[in-house]
Amino acid sequence: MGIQDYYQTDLPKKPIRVRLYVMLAAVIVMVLLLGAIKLFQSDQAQYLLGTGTVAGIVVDESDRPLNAEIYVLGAGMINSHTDENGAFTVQGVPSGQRSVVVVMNGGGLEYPVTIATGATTDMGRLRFIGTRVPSK
Amino acid sequence: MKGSGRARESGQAYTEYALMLIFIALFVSSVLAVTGLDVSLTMCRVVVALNSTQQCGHYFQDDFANLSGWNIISGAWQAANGFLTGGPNEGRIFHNLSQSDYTINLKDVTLNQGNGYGVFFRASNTSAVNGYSFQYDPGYGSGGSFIMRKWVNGNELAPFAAVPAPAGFNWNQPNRQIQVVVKGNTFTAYVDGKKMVSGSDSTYPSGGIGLRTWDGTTFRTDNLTVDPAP
Repeated sequence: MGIQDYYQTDLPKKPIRVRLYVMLAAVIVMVLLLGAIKLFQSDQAQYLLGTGTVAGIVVDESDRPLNAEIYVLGAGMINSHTDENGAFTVQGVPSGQRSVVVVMNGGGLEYPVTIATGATTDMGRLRFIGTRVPSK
Repeated sequence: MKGSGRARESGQAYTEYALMLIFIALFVSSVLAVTGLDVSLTMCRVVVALNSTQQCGHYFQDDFANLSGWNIISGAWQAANGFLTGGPNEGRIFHNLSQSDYTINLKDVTLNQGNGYGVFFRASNTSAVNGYSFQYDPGYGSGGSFIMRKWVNGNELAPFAAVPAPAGFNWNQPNRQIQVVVKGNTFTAYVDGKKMVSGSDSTYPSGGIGLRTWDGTTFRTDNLTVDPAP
């Protein structure tokens, strides 16, 4: 063996170094996987699962149409309102278990709803009785 | 002659060790973030487990020398003689929190008059609040109730939890101890150490705290702390 072999700098890979690189790769994959899980827990990621439409009519106890605010909860908050006939249609609602909140005069009621991807869920007539001052 | 005299590699390069430590730290942080665990609280609990004489500190504490830590949205609020007084009329006051789970402790609370007061939790967008409130509510129903409401854009929804008060409950008894435990999707309110109402909802995963008055209510409290949820 000559002097140049003794001072050889490009040492062959040792098995322990390969194991280190494998462990580093595994940790990187786990970090990326956990990041993906965190992403899919977010409200924004719900939209990746598809969206649908929810519709209905808000009426009072005498079946008269009401002018109300509409909120859809469960993946962030979507805001809408009824028209002059008390009807509402909210598009782009992430599919799954959501709830529709009808608000008037500072009080509101919540109605659970299941949204199907690419379909319209008709909630029918939502009878709204004001809740503003039951704490009086 | 083989390299018998060649110096042997003594171990991993420092760079590789550093990379390993960084990625392990990232991994642990990611696990905590995904599971929703508070890093500082987790570390504190490890310390407490090792040394029971230590305690994890408050997330927030106020003895009401002034109202500098509060955002007054509406109503009459005053800090005087170490007490916070609120009311009459509709009033809301808030304090932001970065934690999602916590226990709100109100010490020596007295409802002087009126139909009750409320404690907000998981509150955000405080000018038109989204969140929840526990309400000490003698005006709700017949005989009064302990209720929990959800708030959407400043509008209060019908209660998702309501328990009538025990027969003979003295709403105006001075110096009640109020505790609201906010943990995951479940919220529990205690009055003088007794569980009064519990409810569940998953709409709001985080947010701060607040207090509420309405109509003819005036009330006062001596001290407020926010601690880790059990």
